[in-house]
Amino acid sequence: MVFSSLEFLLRFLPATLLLYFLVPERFQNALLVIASLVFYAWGQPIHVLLMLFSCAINYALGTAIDRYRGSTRARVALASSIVVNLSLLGFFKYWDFLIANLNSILGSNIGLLGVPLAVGISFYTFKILSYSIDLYRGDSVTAKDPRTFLLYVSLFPQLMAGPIERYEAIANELVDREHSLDLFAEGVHRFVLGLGKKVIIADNVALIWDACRTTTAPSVLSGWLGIVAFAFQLYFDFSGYSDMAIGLGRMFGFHFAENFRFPYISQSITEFWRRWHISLGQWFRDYVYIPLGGNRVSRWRWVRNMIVVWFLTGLWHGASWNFVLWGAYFGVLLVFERLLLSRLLERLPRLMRHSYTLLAVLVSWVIFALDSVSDILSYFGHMFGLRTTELYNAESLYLLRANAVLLLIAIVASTPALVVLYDRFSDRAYVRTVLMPLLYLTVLTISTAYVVDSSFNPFLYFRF
Amino acid sequence: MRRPHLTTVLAFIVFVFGLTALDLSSQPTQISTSERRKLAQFPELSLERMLAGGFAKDYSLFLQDQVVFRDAFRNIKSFVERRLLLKDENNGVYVVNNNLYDKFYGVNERYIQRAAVLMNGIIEAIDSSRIYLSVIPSKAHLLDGSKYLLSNQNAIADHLRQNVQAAYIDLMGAFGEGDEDLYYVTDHHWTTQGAIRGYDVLIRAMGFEPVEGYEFEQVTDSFAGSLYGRAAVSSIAKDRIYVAHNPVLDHMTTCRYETTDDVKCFLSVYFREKVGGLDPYDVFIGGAGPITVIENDRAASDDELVVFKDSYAHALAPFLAQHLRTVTLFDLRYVRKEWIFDQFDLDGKAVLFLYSTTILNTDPRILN
Repeated sequence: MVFSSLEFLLRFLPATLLLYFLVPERFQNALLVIASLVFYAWGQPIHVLLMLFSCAINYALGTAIDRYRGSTRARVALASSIVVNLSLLGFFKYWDFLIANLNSILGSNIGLLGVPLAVGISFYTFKILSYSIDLYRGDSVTAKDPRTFLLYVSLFPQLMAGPIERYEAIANELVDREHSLDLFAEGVHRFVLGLGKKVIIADNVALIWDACRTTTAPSVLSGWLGIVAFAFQLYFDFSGYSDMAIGLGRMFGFHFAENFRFPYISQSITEFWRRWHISLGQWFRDYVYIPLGGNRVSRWRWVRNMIVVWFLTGLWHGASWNFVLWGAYFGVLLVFERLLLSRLLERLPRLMRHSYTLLAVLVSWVIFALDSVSDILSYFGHMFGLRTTELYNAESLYLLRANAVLLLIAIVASTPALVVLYDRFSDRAYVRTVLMPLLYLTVLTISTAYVVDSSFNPFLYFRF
Repeated sequence: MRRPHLTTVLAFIVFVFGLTALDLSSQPTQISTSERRKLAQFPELSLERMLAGGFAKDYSLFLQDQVVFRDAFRNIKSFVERRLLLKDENNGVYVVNNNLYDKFYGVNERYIQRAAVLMNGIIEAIDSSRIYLSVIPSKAHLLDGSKYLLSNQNAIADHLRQNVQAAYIDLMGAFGEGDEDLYYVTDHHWTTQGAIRGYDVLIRAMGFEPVEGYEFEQVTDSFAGSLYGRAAVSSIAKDRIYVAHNPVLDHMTTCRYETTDDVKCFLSVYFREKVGGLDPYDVFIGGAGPITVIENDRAASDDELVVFKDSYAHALAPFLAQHLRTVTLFDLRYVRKEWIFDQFDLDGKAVLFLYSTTILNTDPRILN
């Protein structure tokens, strides 16, 4: 199920909230599990079985890791958990990709299976992996009750697209958490703003990107306009989802980690990755980069570590070479930044550092957005005037003019300006009691209006 | 940062639970008059469909179609798009000076080239010296192309003029800025006045002097056309549909071929019962159908006209029929041309290809 749909807003959410706060506290977890399974089963019921299977086997392995702590058995259990998780992920996400590549390399003709992607599998598999590894390292407590573990994995707010929460981070809240109107109000704040980001901004700028990408009258302006629109689409789509997940979590008494911190204000690529999809970056740091030695190794091994991490980060985003290329691009850029650019960057004015970062990120989104090398090259040609000699034309000027207000809103909303404004005035009573509630009602109404008058717009990160 | 106030919770609860309660208590309706379409109904419930995910998709469509205050929400979205985000359009419809215009952008050259080839194919199969071609501009043709993103519709007419072996009659120049009343506000079709403008030009080119002086009868004042639902602008007034009368028009007969062997004839060119249906424009000759024959036994000549057409011809055909014994309309979206050649002798008759730029540009089936 998608948060930005009527079945969620007008059926699932009210029903779940109502039942959750009506049942005695000891049944609340059971209710959340059932709700989460319904949420996941909606539209793709078969994949629930896969998730339940994964939960069962990993819970058992986790218990073994804990029981045989320090012995070879624990190591075997951990290895089994890693193999099971990566095998499931590999089969359900990468099998056809692997076979297609084998076929093209070996000239073989192995049939593709057409396995449908189990939505959310990349996210919950990474959650489960972090649990097993943390347990082995002694960084986490065990889930005493399999139902608690099932709740951790299936928790509907973050099931489909994160944040990738470590078990340890919410272990206490999974068992015993406080609910309060204040916390619920915070949840509403985050959820409503996230919904607005997704429905009003992301789905709307997506139309600009579509128009620019498919245009028959390319100009340099539409090339740039298109990729800027895509950058906003991706950010508002995914960070909107994360806001909604965090907000829903608060309503049910959970504190999930932040996943985005205004990435487009970054002054370097290193900083960008501390602000973009934070939970994924941390996952790769904790479970791949640091175990490989991190940066406390020789320069060459560090470069190797970076290559491995960024190859995997790219591949995680999808079974397609453009994602691998995209990861590699960032890997190279980050190595380059650390070894050569950092000193130079420090001496540059903010504006130039910011411009460099945005330019590098925009270039990366071209690779991210288009899945064939020829499309990627063609789009670069579009941006840099190789496909066209026109700087602008009637179409691109119209797109810019017609979407000027929307783009302005997107620019402002991707900086902390509005948060600063809110912080400045939020201690005034009328702001909190009247203005903000009115704003939420307005955003809810407008978002619902867009949902009613739209065709289906799934979240981009469901693909990953 | 201070935490949000409790009124926040109240606002949220009232919105979500209030809307849900109202939605649950509202009854599903069959059709939307503003959008002129049938609405999705509660989907068939079966285990098989639930497991395959089909039920979830259909249920989603059902909720979207039947949601309480649907029209109000669609109007709000339209308002936000046009008044807050300052776009000129909503759902591909320009809203300019309280008038609606289908955004005409992007010429589908493949369709146009194919249309020319198919027209020539038909022309070769008919032995006639009087073959005409004309193209009706879509309403966006009236807009100032420098202010809106529009394609030049003349390119479509020019391509057909240059490539089809027929005498071209220009209608593109007959409609221009200031001619807004020749099209409905809420619909893409021309009005009766627009059809008369078209008729004047066409019939002169065919060598007749146009008839003048009609009496007009209003058959509805609440026509919400195809653009009305898409634009979702509450301040736009619905259209009036007028039909024209004179003694000749009033004595015509319309024979509609619903299927190849089911022909029904009616003693009028106007079908008033259609005014209450999904598309009131069907008042003209009863709406779309594979073959429609208008008979005029008061015609001064025995001449016959065959028209290959889209729906713009429905409002126009009765006027042409004032000069002719019969006007036969073929809509190739609903009947195969091979069947027509088999059943009808078209040799020696006047033939007119009459299509609007919108349909030429968007519907690949028009000449199948």
